Amino acid sequence: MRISTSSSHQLSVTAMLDQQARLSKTQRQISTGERILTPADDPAGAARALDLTETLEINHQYQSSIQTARSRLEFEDSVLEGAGNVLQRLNELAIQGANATANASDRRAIEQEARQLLGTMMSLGNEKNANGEYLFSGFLSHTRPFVGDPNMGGFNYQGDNYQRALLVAPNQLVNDGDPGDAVFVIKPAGGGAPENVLNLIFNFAENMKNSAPDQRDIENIQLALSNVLDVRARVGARLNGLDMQENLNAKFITDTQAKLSETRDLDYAEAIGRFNLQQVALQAAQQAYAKVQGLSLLNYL
Amino acid sequence: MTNALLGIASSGLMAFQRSLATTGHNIANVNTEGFSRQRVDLVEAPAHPGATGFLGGGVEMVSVTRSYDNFLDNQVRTSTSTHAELDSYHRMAAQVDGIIADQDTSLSPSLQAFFNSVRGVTNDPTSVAARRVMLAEGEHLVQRFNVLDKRMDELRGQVNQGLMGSVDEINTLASGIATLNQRVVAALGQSGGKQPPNDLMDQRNLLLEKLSEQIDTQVVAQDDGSLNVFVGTGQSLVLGTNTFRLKVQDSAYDANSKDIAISAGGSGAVVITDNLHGGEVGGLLEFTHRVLDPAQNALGRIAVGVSLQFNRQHRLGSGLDGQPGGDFFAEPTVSPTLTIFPKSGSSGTLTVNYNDPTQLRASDYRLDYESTATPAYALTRLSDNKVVARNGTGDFTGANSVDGLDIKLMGATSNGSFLIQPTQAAAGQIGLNMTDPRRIAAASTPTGGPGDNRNAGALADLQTGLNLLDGTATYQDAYSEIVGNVGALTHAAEINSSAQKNLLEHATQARDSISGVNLDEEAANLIKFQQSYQAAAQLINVANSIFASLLGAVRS
Repeated sequence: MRISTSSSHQLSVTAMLDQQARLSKTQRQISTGERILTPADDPAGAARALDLTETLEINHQYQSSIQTARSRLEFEDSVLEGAGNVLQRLNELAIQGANATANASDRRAIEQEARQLLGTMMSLGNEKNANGEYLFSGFLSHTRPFVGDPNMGGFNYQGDNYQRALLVAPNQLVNDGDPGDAVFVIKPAGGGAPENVLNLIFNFAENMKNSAPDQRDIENIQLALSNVLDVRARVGARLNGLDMQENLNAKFITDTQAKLSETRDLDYAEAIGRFNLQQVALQAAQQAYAKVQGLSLLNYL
Repeated sequence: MTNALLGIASSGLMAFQRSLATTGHNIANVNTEGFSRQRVDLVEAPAHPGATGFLGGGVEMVSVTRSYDNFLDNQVRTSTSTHAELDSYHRMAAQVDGIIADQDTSLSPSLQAFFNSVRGVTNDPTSVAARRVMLAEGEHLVQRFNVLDKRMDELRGQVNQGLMGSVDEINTLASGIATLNQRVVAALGQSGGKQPPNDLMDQRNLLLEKLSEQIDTQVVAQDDGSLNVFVGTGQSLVLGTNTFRLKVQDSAYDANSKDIAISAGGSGAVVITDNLHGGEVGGLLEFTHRVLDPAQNALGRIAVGVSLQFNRQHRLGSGLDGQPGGDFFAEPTVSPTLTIFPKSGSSGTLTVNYNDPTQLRASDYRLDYESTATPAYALTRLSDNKVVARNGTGDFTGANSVDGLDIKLMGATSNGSFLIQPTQAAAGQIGLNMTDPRRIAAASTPTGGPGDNRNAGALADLQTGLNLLDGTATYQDAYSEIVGNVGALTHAAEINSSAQKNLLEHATQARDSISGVNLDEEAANLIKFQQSYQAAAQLINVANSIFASLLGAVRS
């Protein structure tokens, strides 16, 4: 075929421009480390990368919810441990007070300690977390859950019976605390309406003051203790569950990151190989251009 | 005898001088756009009959003709038009492609950051700091929507600018072609149709090629040498020496959208936008139709979904101090109706509102009065050009709502027509309504207490809810779909455009193999014609010398 001079020029120049464009794209891929520079490079891959990124973000949300729930539950656990210790000591005192060998002055001493412990118990029930929220008032987290006077009695639970739930995995909610009435209100010995543990302790102290030991005080304190231990066991179970879920999420995050990297990231070995090849191709095109354009019959006239 | 020889010699001299001049003309125009190489057509001069036979009379120049192949030239024009269309389509699509996935403009990061912050409030409903973060991220999300929408509007502006530029160019080229038609016809006439005005015809072909960069054309040659040019589905642009001007005018519905019309001699302008293909114009129209409108509609749909569905949940809850939830986002609704454009001359009041964002399609609609017979009104979905509903009263609300839209027309007369764009502007209209972090409705009831995070949890769950595309997609899925679609369209445009570039190169090469100048060939011709000229000159010398011999013989 006849080749016109200007189209032979044009073809060579177009070839060089194409090689340059390819080289520049590879260069951009290498400098960003990304295989997909714009969605057009791999439309399905680009859309998948966005979905995977969202999955990652959501799982990071779960992990951060787990951390929040864990720190709250660990704090609750330590408060419950304190409450357990207080009730344990009260149980000892109640047994001492009920002993026939105890006299009125012994019981006055027991009463003193019981009132001290009642104060401790009340401040445990009114603990606040780092955000200044009361631990044991349900959703009414800015309302002091337990008010009353260790010397007057009449303790009331001011909170509600809701439990806050945090999402730690798809469709999996974990309570980050327990309402006060689940921890500090029990059905007293011998039946009857649920009663505040603080009032039960107050009653015990009053009985000691009057040196009139009542067997039901021991039962009530033991019921309160076993309730606290029960709640604590459930908190422990939730903490274990969180640990397991955190590991599962972490595994899922690692897998998703691997998939994302596969989708989006550049295979450097391949890219650098390609870069070298394209460089050679561009040089070849440039040299061929110079050689071919040097050929002309006019040189020999 | 000597006379005849001199005559033959001088005919050769003349012919080769002209040939040399034509070779020189070819060399001088080696870089001239649109130039077709020329050659001098030579024939034997008529022989002189004699008793001993016919004696050759030298050479004669018939004409200077250009090497030109009409078929190949047509092919170049067709390829040019297709390539220009795909190229401008690809150039524009690549801009959308670049915007939607860029870290600084993409919706994804801010959508995720926003829902992360909602989850943050769920985990810490009493924390005013967490609520402030949510407000800030909400503001950020709204800005992303707005910025993306603005960039798309800018692209629409670019399209309109491009169309105006192209139409100006087309008109200029058309007048140029008409003028050249006149000159070609005149030049041909002077020589009784025998001598083609090569350079004028080259110029005219060049203008036609430039025209096909702007729009697809059909060219029909006339017997008198003029060319008639048609665009679209046979609308005349150039007829002989007459041109019909194209113009860009506001659409009958919407001043922001442009139509191309052609003047049709006296009867005013006819809109031919939908008939135009090829070239820059075809590429821009195709881009608007296939990439920009669907992408902007789909983006708007996400804005509608996020704001309406988030607000609906938000209104169910209560703030930190028990305040009723209210709207978190400012919803993209132009009171009292969504964006509608009545065709000029339509009467009646049309109101359009969102019914169920889940069912929204990323499409525009047109409501037309069809006939006096019921049902009188037809609603056409423009993305697939399908009549989706007919109703005698023009009332498509409640149970009759269509694609998640309530549409109601009142007091309309016949011949009304309305363009409805439910989502196109939505991403630019969404705003943030809330300023007080305490009013964020994390609680589910007014008395729920500050620790109540149930409504915040429900709000955060919207991130993973299948709230769009008929309950098949999350907000992020819907955005990924835009990215995937635009990416695929851009990718296809890139491939088609480079394939078409190859075809154009082939076509151009094929034409140039006929019409293009090759300097080596011209150099060889230079030598050939120089030698021929020298030989012819030698003939004169011989004639001279034999004449001298004859004279000498007589003298002595």
